[in-house]
Amino acid sequence: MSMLQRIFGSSPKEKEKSAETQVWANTLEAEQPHNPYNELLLLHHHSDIVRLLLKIDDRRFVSAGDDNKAVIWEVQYGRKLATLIGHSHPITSLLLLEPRKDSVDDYFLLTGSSDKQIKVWDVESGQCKLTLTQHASSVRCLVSLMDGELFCSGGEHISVWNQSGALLSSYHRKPEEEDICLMIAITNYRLVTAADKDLVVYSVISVVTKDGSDAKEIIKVRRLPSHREAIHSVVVISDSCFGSGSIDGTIILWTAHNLLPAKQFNTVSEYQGVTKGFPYSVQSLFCVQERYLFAAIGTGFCVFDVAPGKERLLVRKLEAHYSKISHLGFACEGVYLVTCSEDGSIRIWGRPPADGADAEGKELLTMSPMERFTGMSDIELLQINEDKVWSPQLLGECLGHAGTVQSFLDYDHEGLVSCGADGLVIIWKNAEMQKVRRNQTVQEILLNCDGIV
Amino acid sequence: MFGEYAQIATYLPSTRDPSGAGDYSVSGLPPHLLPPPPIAQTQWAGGGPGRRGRGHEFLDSINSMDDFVMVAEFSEIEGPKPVLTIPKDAGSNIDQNALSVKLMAVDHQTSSEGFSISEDTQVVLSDDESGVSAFVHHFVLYDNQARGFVRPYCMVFISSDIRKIIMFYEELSSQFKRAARFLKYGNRLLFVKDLERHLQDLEHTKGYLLNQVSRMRLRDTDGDGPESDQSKSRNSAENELYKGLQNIRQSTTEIRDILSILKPLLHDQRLESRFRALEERAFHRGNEDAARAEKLSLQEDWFADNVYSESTTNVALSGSLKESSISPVSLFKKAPSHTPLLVETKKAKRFNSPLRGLHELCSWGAKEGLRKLRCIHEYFKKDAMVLEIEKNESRLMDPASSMILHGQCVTSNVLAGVSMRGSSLCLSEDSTSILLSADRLRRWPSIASDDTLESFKSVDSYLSIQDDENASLYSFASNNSSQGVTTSASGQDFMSAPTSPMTEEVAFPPQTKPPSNATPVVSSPSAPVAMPGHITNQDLQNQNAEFSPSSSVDPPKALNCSASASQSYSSSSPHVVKVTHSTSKPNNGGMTETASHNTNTSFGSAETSTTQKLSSLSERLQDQNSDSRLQICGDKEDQKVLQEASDAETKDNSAGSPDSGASKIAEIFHQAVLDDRQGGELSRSNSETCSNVSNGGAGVADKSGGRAPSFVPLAVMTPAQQIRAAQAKKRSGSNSLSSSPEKMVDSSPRSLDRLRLELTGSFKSIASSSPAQTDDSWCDIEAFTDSTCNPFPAYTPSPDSCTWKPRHGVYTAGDVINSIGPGRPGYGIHEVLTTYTNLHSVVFSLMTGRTVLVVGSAKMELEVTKIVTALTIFLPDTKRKQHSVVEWMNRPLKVTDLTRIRLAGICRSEKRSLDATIPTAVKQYSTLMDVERRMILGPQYQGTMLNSVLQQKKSFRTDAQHVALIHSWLMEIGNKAFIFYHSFCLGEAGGLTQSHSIEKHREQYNTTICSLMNRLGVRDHDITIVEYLAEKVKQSQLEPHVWTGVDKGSIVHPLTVSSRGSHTFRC
Repeated sequence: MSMLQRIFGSSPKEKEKSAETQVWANTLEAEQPHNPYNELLLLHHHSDIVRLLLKIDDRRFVSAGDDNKAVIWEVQYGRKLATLIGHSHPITSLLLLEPRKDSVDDYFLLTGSSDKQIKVWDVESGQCKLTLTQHASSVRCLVSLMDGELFCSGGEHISVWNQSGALLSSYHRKPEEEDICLMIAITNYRLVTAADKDLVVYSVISVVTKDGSDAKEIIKVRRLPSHREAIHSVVVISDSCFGSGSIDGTIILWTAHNLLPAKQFNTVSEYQGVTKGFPYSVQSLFCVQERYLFAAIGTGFCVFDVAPGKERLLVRKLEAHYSKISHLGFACEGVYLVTCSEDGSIRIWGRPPADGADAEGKELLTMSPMERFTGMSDIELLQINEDKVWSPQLLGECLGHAGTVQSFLDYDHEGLVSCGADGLVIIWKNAEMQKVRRNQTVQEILLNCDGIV
Repeated sequence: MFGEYAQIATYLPSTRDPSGAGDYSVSGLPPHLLPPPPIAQTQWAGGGPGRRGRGHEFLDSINSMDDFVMVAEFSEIEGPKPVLTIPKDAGSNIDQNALSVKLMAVDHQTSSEGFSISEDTQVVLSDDESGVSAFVHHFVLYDNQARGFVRPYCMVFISSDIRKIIMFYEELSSQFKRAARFLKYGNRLLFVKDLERHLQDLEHTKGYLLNQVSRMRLRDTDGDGPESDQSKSRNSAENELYKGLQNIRQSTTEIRDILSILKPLLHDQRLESRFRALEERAFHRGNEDAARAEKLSLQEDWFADNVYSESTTNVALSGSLKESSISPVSLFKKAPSHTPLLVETKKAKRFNSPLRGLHELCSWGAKEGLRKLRCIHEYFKKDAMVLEIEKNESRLMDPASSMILHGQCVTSNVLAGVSMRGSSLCLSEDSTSILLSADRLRRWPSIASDDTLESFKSVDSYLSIQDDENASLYSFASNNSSQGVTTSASGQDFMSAPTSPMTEEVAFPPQTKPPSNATPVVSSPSAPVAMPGHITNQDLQNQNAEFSPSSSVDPPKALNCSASASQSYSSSSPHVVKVTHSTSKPNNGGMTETASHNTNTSFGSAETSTTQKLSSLSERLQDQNSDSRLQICGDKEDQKVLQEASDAETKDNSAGSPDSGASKIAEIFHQAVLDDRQGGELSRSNSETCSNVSNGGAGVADKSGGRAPSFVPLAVMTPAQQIRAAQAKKRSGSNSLSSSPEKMVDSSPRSLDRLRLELTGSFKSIASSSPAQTDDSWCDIEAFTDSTCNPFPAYTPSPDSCTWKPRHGVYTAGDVINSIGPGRPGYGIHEVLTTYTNLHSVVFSLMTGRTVLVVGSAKMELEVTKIVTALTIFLPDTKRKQHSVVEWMNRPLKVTDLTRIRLAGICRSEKRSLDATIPTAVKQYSTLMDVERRMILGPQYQGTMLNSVLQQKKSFRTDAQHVALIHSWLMEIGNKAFIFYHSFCLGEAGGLTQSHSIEKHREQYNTTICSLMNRLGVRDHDITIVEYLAEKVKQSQLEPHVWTGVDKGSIVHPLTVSSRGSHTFRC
């Protein structure tokens, strides 16, 4: 039993819910003066659910979804730079490969799809460079290894490819096993894969073949003890640690070295199964400073300190949304925590506005992300215990999507990109920032151009 | 007609009766804003209808006469006669034959030997007695069947309002020239063809005759013997033949001569291809339907005016079937080989055959020419006031990217007349000429600024400068337009601010000017850079102009003066200065400095002298704003009007002003003193005023500056004004318009003056245009915005055929007010404003880009549509590209609709709940107006600007009045946006990222904006309104650059979501 079970005990749930609901109403001012995102660009191209977003660079990102298309967008004005058409089934995974150091190529974008193909696209031109078909099964996830020299695709099988798209090795799993849906790379070229409730670790090893050439081989290292329910998120915490979260509400930390469970954060005392819709499912995890683990749990979110020996709960926000949170992350260099949810909203959380004055003197850049977010110093953070958790304030709500907000990307001052089940990609921007940007551009146009067009 | 009613004319009071004109001069209106005095006066001065004699009735009919276009010819058979009128039944109350006689009583043809091309002439005729004036364009068409090959014609624009013809003489002239060009070119093509054919005939006849001669000779030799009577007859026959041959030779040479003159003139490829296209289309159509082809005709009915209002199918059928023998005259089609005919050589001329009609003479040229005339009529039939407003405001349409529209009506343009090249600013040639030609230039007395004080430490230094006017130290440039207007100069102290492209009138202060400034020379230092002000309070300037009872400076002097004075010209305000054609070094440093000053002030940092100036500017601006009479306005000529419009309610300061120029000046001067609220001595207040004038442009003049108390500002009539006055005088010549030169100057075109008239309700003719007409013209306009779906576009005016046609579906205020009717933006605004209360929230939403949804059930569709149409007038937009207004929609809204739709009527479905139609996200970002429940859900408006318009709803009775008021009000806002755009958005402060943190940046940005806007008298929520306009402009300007090569449909427009708390209001 976890120490957190008390906190997440089910008995006061109903009361809490109503109380929390009231709190929103109180905290979110009608005018949302602290919501940084007050201008939006609606990018309308996809015709089906947009599930994936991937940042290419400071200027471009790619969105992909169930309409079998991926679109490369420019983030400042929302220009559509390229439409990647070629897959015949929904795109399930995106991976960006950096060009070889000696080449002048732009990034290569990999798209994996349910049509059993992996396509390699030239980001600049939007041309499909390669189509890899040897995966032979629906591609569910893509991961790069060895600084991008290799990449692995997961699905029914695991394949490892080199940068030029040559299949180096394949590992054939048993057909009765569920498809791999999540995959992360940990140290020593190992892959942690999640298929349903199971975590299995594979390793990519180099073997010298008879003819002396270097070849790769995938071997299964170990199957880890199962979660009770399907795993929906896996995250690398540090070189020595990774975590997994399941829809039953448990988060398990694993040591990377010997692949043993180090810690379990269990937020549920009583198992709540399918009938209840997994109210505490862990949908999304991310970690900052290798010790603060942010977890979207059901409709709320928590922050855990996962430093060895100091494990504790720092932040707990239940009922942060009306529906399950699908993704969470920092925005604007860690000033805000952003959560997006199945209720169609994106919410901005941060320290109460009044606290802003305290941090005035301090340069934001010198602060650690957690300090920026909470406005507290690391020492102050250490003093937080589970009896007195810190509570971020709801600063704003971005309503725009008509369905589930699947994911978002943070572009710091450029804004926030979100995608949703309604096929929309929305770039949320700060109007004041944009006005200045437009002023600059107009000045450029008017003052430097030869006359006005 | 003219003679016939002579006795009536004597019966009438003199049209030049000064007391009659006095009624109108009271209001100090420019001539074009006056109702036609002579006729109107009799109408109004007369008693009841019973007392009116025949003359009155006649005059009434004249007065109600619509303008029309007539084509008349001097027929060699019948003499002068009308050929056609546009519209067809126009001028029925006028004796057209008599009119034709009068019109054609001109011999403008050159009387030189042989064939020559005669030039067209244009003349303005007016008949005082009947009150009818005409613009006449005489031209000559060629006809190989006519005497001397010529057919004299004239095209006339007939109006009961001489001022229209006088004021738009140039436009009329050029338009008629274009119409004549069509006619003449078509005619020449045909004439040449005719002649060539005739030449063939002659050759043929010659051959025939020669043949006969030889046969005769043959018979002669073969003959049995000479028989006297036989030889006699033979001789005479031979003589006859020789004579014939001689005639033929003569004709041939003549024709060759003509051809040699005419042929080189026929090189207009564009016209030719145009005609060719017309012909091809006509024949193509004909081929499609052979039966119809037979009937294809160039008959008059084919061009019947009513085809305009009819659908195109009717048009096709309306081609005349009466004379199917007249087949279309083909200009280009290879005619089936011409079989030469024998030419009658004996009779030189026959006068029994009917002369050919216009269409036979000009073929497709007639078609095009008449279409042009129709366009001319369509355009010039509008009221003179409307035309004037259109003329004035049409300059706002360029450049299109920076235009601000409200309900498709242009209200402002932040770059109108401004061109930016590199870092220096200048007026574009074009805009300069527009400005100049509009005679809006004035010179203002120059005012002291501290900087100038520094510059001119003493009289001596000043004089030395004046002497040394060409000193290279004081580089200056002047743009001497044809009308002798001086523009600004730059010198040492001149800091040109590239960031703020404005044309500015700059006041040059003669600090040490001796009080005796009666002579032009002495007064000259105070002279002027006379450019229409963008910022400066024109009203003040007007007043200033009127202060000077006396002196006017001749152009060269003024030029010198401005040059010499220019060196002291300092401009440090963010929105500064415009140099026309400046030779001064582009002062980048100056720019930065200026901008940074601005920034400094904005952030409240150390007070530099500049900031002082700025603050004085701001004080002044606030002053001006607190006093509606002295509001700061932008570049509009109309600002006076704006002010007056706002005055109209508060105080009617001009109503009682006397008609004599001098006393009016005194009155206004007095007013100015009062308004200024500075009290004190005359000169003081005056200079105060003036300094603030210059403040607008140059941010000068600390009020504490010790200036000579004896300083009396001077007002000088600009050369342009003088010229204009003179011209006007000259032109008015014989016409009934009586206006003294002063008056002309005093009231140079300020289009919206008329609006004000309209506002005060003393003049109602605006609304007089019939709705039906309106509809038609609207349709026409629609037609050529969408000409692709027009099966036979030849019947719709092509875009280049009207003088100021709507561009991109953009209209001017004149157009809108003139033709307000069902479906036009603003139609029904009066009713909506009076029916519904608490519309602030809705209007505010519209003006800040927040979508407004008017909700009603299906049975309320009419009401909802009406509200949507009416409210469209408030909707700001830039170039009209997409339809941001949807009158009625049934489908559920999506968030993506919000980027496009700004105003929509929403059908509340019986089955679905409103939430299904309007999702939460949409609801949050839009304002709802529920027509049935009389509820508004929207942001609370906290500001003052809207009140001035929405509270006027009881003052006016018609849509046109409301539209006029709203339009002038929107222009005022547009001016504020103009200042904001140039001072902030294009200034350095506008390009600064204030802080690394979004939150802080936002805070500081808003503080900056707030302080700047406060100086413009814009507060609270009004800031958003002004800022939104500037944003719209910026986005419109960015579009072509950011989205080059991108499909238009995929342009992403940013949607600002100021999720202000929504409140519920009853409406």
